[in-house]
Amino acid sequence: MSFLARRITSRSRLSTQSLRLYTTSPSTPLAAPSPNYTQGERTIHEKLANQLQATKLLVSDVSGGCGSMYSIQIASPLFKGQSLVKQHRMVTELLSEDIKGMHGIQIKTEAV
Amino acid sequence: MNPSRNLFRLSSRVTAFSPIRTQAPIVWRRNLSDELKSKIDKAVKEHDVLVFMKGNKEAPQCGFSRAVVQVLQIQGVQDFKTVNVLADDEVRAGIKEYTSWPTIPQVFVKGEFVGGCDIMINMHQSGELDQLLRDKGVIKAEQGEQGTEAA
Repeated sequence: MSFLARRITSRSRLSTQSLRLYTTSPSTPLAAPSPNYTQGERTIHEKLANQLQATKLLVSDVSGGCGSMYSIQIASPLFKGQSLVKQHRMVTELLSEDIKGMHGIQIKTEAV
Repeated sequence: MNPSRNLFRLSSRVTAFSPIRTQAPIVWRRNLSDELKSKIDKAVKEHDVLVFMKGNKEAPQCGFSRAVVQVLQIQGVQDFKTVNVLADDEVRAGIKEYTSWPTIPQVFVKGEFVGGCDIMINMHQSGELDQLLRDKGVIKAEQGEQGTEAA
């Protein structure tokens, strides 16, 4: 049982099996976090998914697991009609505290 | 009614002019002095294209800044000016407050903030950047990237 627990919390990206620790109801429009997320990725994902109604969302730690650089791809209906600058600002405003600790952030937004 | 609660509300009304006590979401200008703000205002209006970056045009000191320089050069923008934020901590922090944008590089075209590296690359690929630069008169009809339009 404890062996299983270790596997679930492992940050290894080599595991190809996704262990579903939660049930996703088919009606939920929010993009679910990947089970392979690091803690940092998950935190950011949850903030953005909930507050921006993200239909597609992928947060990647591109600093080798250090949490100092993230790449974010997000699609949200809230982006419709907004300029790219405004869309990016919507993301960075939600993450303003997290960004203070980062060296960089890459954002790709889509209005969907 | 809790008396101390009343007192608090009263005091915040009385000190309404003091930005410290107000409850409205004020953006604190911790890094952007009025002097710096007007310097930036002046600089972005003075130059057609101004880039706040790490390093300079000839020697960018960051991959994202380099990418922005390359995009502008590919678009045929001949003489864009750059400001090296690594040379001045006040500017480095101040520009982020000026645009409410947390990252460097930052590109201004005709006094208007266009975006950072991700946006520049996105607009370059979609053709929007070319359109914007032509609309603003930054690049002329004969200049710019050789198009890949069908003959």
